[in-house]
Amino acid sequence: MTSTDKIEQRVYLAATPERVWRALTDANEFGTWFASELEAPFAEGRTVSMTCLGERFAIDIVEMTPPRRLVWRWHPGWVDHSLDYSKEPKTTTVFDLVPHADGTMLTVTETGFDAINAARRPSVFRDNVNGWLEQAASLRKYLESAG
Amino acid sequence: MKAQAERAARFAALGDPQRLRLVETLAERGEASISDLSSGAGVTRQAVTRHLKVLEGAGLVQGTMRGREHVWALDADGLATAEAEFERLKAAWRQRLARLKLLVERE
Repeated sequence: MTSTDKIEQRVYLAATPERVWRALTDANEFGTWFASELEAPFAEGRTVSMTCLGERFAIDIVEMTPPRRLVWRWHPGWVDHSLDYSKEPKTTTVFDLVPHADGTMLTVTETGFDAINAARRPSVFRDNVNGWLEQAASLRKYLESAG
Repeated sequence: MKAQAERAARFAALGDPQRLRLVETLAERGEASISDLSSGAGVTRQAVTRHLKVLEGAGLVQGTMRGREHVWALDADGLATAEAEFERLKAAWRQRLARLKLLVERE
């Protein structure tokens, strides 16, 4: 596995694993921090459609082990209607929750970028980033209005 | 859209086993001449040249003249961009987790 195959990030959250689990898996709460709208609640084995800035994404929920582990697979780029996604590799994202002090240590790992060929990679990353920036702006608005 | 057309061109360019092999070989070696790329591969120099032109058109490889020889390499700008974009994708996850932290610690 190369350094460009994997993204891993860890954050301490001053909240119980149960509370974090709810934020990760409740459709409304997830929509809040991911700045998107889920068409159905997450369920193991289900492919959930997510709408984000008018584009639809499919998230395959691979594993749900409350309140410890959430695993999904998806196409990590902005939707490109010229691509045949059935032939495209997906990345795997793992949310790992471990009780830590009075809170939760959350580790998020996304792997599989190497399988997306070098040619596509630049566009995938660029598109993702632009999408996230707009998401961040809409979320900030939501948080400010929610107080 | 132009970006989509470019991406489609890249996919078309890579949708051929021989061209994909050329890209992989250049990724391993850094650079290579047409002789290097055709030797032992069971393909003619003409076929290699034709494939390289398609890859060049898609912005995947670059050819330069060194003396009398045409030397080929992956497009360095494209690769540099990939690295920078990867860093930015990491930053996107950091942002998301920061928002998650805000949400679960608010109560």
